[in-house]
Amino acid sequence: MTRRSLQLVNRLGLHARAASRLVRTAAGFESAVWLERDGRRVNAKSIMGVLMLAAPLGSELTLECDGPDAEEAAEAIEALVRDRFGEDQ
Amino acid sequence: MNQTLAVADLVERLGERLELHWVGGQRQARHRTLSAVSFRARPSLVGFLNLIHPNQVQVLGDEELDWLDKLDARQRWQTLAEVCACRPAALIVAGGGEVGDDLEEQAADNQTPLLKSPRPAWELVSILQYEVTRALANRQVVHGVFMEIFTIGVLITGEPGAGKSELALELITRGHRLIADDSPEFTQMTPDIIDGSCPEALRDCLEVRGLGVLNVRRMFGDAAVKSNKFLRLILHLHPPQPGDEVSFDRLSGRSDDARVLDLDVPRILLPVLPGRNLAVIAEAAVRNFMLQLKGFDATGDFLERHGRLMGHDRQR
Repeated sequence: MTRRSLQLVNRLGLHARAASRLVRTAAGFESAVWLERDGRRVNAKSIMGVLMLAAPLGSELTLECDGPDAEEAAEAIEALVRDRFGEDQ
Repeated sequence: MNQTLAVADLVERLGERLELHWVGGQRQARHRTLSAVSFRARPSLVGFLNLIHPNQVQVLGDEELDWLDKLDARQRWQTLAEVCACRPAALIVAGGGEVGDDLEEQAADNQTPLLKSPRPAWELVSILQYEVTRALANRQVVHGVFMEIFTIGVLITGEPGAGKSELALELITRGHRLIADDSPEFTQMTPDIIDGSCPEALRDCLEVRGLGVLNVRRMFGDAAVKSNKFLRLILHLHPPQPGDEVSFDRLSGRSDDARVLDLDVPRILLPVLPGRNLAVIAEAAVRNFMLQLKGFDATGDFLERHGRLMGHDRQR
């Protein structure tokens, strides 16, 4: 099990397009992937769940990956968040 | 398909209803044909006598005959020569008017089919126009199953073995109706209406792997089949491809337009996955499509709510 702390650095936070990219990235791994914010814990492979986190710019998220490729999954998602989901700002 | 319609066939179809009687040129009527005119071209199939835009069927009513009578003999002769020289498919004298000897003679010289009718010219023109446009409309056969789902004409397409017929069978058992299996025939009625129907030989039949040909009307009753329907939506079944999981837009599904004849028809792409009840998904797709027609977009509505939740709706 891998656990990491993430901070959202893109202007719009986890809006629809960003959430969609995050879910697609998570779905590419075999491991179970979870995201938690303010006590709400959701499956990162479910788009509705991720959107319900309603996480704006600057929010702190906890990422949890569990499975054979947990380390790679955590790395990929962390990189995506750091890269502002491929957006300009 | 490029359609043609022989004058003889047209008269056979409408002769009794429009009280058409032959004056001359009956033998040529098999060989004189009307041919399709595209929506983009000037429609000049059937109309009142027109020398500038000669119609393929020229109808001479009271006004046209009066006008011809006012010309002096030489002018009249020349005018009629000009009318016949455009090689119309047929000339019809309407309103019970007198067919002049000169017109009869000129038509015979040019082997132009000439008919008369006691019915008023406008009636002939409107009925002939409707029938001729229908008969000559562009047609296309598309591989798939054409069904009526919740009153909407839906074409189910997909590679052989994708499960089109099985889906159709399940939809029929759920109360929807079959129009045509395998090769529905589509006709462009107007620029934005395509009518789909079943070739005579295939009517009521559905072929299901392992069961052979089923007669849906005999098995499920008259209400399980329908003769024709306007095409509004295409559901395309496709096997899941590697990478689908990564490229699918989970919020709005996947859709595009498919060209049928001269119209772009909305198409929803449905991946066929084991354990999915396709009939339920097809019904839901059609219900959602009906909502979209009424202007409601569930994805857009949800995203708006999400935007409010995020608190940045004012920034958009």
